Amino acid sequence: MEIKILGPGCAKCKTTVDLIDRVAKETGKDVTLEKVEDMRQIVGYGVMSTPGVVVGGKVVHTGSVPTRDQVLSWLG
Amino acid sequence: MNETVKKDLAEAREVCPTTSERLLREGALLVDVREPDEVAQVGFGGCEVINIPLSELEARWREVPRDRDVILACAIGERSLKATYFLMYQGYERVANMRPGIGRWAKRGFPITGSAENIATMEEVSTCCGGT
Repeated sequence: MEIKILGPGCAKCKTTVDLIDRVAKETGKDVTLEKVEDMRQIVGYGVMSTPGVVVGGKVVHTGSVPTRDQVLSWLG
Repeated sequence: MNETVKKDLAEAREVCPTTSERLLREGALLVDVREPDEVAQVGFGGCEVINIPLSELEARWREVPRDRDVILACAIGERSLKATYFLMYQGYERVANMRPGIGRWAKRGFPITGSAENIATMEEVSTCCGGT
């Protein structure tokens, strides 16, 4: 499963990356995380509020650090 | 959350304050994406300008006309670049980003509203149109 985290490198973005990475490891899911920090690429997803999360090509979250439950739901 | 389409956006067109001033005289619209408190201190003058703060752009982007040239501007050209890309994402073709922003605009002697003293906090290194 490929998950992209959209954000310019702010603290919330880093927290989001760490959270998803941790939950993925805890649940044993095979997840590839990619950070997208370029503004043009971020806005290319229609996202203005970061951090944003893209799962399987779809934007599933924007504007805040997601909750653990949200991350679990994305990982299926 | 809505289904979102990823778009490979072309590089945004960027124009310096001097070119912007000419385009505005020729009929372009200026969209100032700074927040209201910033605009109250010092604003762009002598041209048609609307204020849509970047924080409100997702809700208000439809206020920006598609059928005329539009220049996005802020203090140094970073927030307005983001706004330019967002409008490009929404299918706008006649948009350009002013770089740097209102500080250079005022230094060039173009009209402003409010106090020029407030410009002092917006000093930038000059690289536009041959420098100062």
